[in-house]
Amino acid sequence: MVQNFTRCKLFTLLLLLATSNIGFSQGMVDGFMKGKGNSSVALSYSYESYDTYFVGGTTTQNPNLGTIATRSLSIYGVAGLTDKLDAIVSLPYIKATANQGFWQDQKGLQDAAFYLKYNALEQKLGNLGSLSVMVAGGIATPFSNYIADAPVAIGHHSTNLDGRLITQLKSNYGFFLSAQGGYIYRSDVKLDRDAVPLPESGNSPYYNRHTSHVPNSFDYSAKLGFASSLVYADAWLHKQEASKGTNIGPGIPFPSNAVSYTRTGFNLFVPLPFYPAVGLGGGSSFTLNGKNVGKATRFSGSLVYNLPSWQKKQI
Amino acid sequence: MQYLKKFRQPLRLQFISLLFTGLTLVGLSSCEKADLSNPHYEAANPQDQDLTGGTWKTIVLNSSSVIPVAVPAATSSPAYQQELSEIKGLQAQLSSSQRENISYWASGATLRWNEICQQLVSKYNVAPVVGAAPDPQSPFANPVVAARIYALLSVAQYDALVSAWHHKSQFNRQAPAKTDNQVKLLIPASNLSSYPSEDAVVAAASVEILKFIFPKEVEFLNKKATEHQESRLLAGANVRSDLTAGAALGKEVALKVLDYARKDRMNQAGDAKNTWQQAVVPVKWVSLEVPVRGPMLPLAGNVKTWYDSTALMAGLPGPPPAVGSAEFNRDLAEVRKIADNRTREQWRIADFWADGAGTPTPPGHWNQIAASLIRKKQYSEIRIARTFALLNRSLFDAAICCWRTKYTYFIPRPSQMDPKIKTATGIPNFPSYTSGHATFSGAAASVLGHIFPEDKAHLQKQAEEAALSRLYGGIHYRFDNEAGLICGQGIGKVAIQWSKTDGSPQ
Repeated sequence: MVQNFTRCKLFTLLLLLATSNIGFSQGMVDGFMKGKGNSSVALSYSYESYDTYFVGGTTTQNPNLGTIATRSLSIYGVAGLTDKLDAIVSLPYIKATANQGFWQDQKGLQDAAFYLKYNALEQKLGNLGSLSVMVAGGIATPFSNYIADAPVAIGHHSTNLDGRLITQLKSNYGFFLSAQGGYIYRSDVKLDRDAVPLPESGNSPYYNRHTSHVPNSFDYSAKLGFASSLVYADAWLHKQEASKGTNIGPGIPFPSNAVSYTRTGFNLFVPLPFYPAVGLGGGSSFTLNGKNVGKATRFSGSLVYNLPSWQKKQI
Repeated sequence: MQYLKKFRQPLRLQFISLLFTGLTLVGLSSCEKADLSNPHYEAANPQDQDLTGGTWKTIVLNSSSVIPVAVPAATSSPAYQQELSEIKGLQAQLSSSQRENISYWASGATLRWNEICQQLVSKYNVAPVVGAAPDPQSPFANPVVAARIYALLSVAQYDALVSAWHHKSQFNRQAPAKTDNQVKLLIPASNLSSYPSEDAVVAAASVEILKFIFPKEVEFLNKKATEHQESRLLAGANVRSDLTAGAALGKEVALKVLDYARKDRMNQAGDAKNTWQQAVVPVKWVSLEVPVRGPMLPLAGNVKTWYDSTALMAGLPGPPPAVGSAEFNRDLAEVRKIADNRTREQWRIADFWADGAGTPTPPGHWNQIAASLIRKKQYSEIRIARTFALLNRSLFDAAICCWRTKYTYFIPRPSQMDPKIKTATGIPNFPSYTSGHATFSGAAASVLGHIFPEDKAHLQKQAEEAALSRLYGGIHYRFDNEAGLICGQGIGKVAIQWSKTDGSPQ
């Protein structure tokens, strides 16, 4: 069983990480370690759309935008630098379109992300399995000068620092349960225009002139899954809670809006039977509720390649 | 036990790394965002107070003396001495928020009320639900309405200040810090007489105009005006009777300006009977919004202009290239080409000048530009008000001339002619020819270029960029912009003509 688990690490994926669309990064890190010398790369495509969005907490539709669809093509890489330290990188190319009205489509390379994950505690629990605790930190920063302050956009153009704690309980039979909590700090962004804050905002406006804050957020998720050498499956619940910020409104810069949401989804992954270094995955996710965000549904598929280990087998 | 021992060493390391992460998380979450409040401006300290300002030509008032101001008490009277005591009492215990208040208002009364007006315009610049009846409590501060508001505000401030200057020179009462050396002067000294207070004049005139337009904001406006007046007592710059007299004068002047406003035909600009639908042109503008919305203020072209209407109407643009003509198609193709290959810089320019919903509008943008030029100059309060009054009358006249042209020719927006033209900004819900942005900018750059000759070339460039921004945005043809700029520059000339005859030294 334990050996089985070691093998299945090879497939534990990046596909959990559907793409990092606006306000939605479903997390760059999971509860599995790659192990020294192991690495994977993945290419994933996702399609996300919504025709209903939340202004503050109230749903609305805009017939002059119709359905906003976001298509992303992302590359990921993860490598076990040591048995206790993984490095993760990603870069998405995103295209956002509205099917009504006349707003220009937006497309481009969005934010490049780099994360480190350290396995701080690995505790055998006898017949129950094992418990691990990991800490992770990452940075995501715009890779192109994309447009952030528009109803159709591919991101908020802030540089984000993310710190999180992950814990995972693995049974000896392949089932696992993981939870993580983190905090994301987002840098101010420069607007193309000089925005005038509302009179109510007094001496502490959230945006002013050509600068806008981008709200920081708390980020929590829980995941239940099964991982074996033949199949990987999980179901997850993810919540982002923005701290201070504005609500979507006329003249209010889009990046300053406080984006919160609860999403749920699942992923499935199978290695190819005849060539297990390569695997195919798919997943879907749904927005349960939110603030200042689209009530979006997403479908994604990915192709994962586990590179040959650069670490010589010691046994 | 053995089990525990085995893990003791690694556990310590693990504990340290967890602690480290915990601290990092706490550190991240306590990262404060930078302060985005407005920059601090130095207290105004004009060397030339334009002491003869009381003789300048008023706009709505027949003269600077028509509104009387009561003779003030002598500085030796017990009543005045009591007013001095009030100031000394207040100054004995100044809080930090009171000091901030002094510094906020000391940077310029007219400038501050202009900023407040921009904020209110932004707040009310929200299109109502399609089909909803206009709500006088929440006016839609679109660019035409906003231009009118800025003009009414500036005219009231200017006429009130010219009146105040007239009475100041008549009564010539010294400021409290000059009559009593125990009164501290916390702002730069001025050689203006203090009765009636120019700050109270501006505050009261501004409140009166703005609460007429934005009735829901009365409380906010009164609070600002109280703070403003209070700042003058705290600073040792005025006694209470300076303020009372100033406020009474400012209010009276504003009421006269509102009488003018009630008769300027703006109340008919909405075209309640939809007469615009009867106009027959070869290819007519249609709303591209869903659901379809009636066009913005079809009869704004009939509103009373501030400057010489004969001269203004003579300068209206002629007909644009006929829809479908080679010249028209060439400019349409240019819009499409730019939209298909829009660069990041073109987007930036389109967004910078867009000034759409929820913003102070293009006239507000030009008020910001004027304010930044004024702040470099150390102008007297009355000269600041004159600058805004010259500018904002020209901007409202630009709105009138432009809207008159729009509803003469009903030229479709580029996306109506070619739906593949995608935009970098919202498509305004009214005909294309001529560009409002170009007309506003042409007028504003001309007027400001006359007042600030050293900035003339730069202002001209800004106006051209503002006009071009609409082509970059995909919502105007080049011919809309060119005709708009020329018309605006013509309006600027008429305004400059006025400025040369208003009795000011400039």
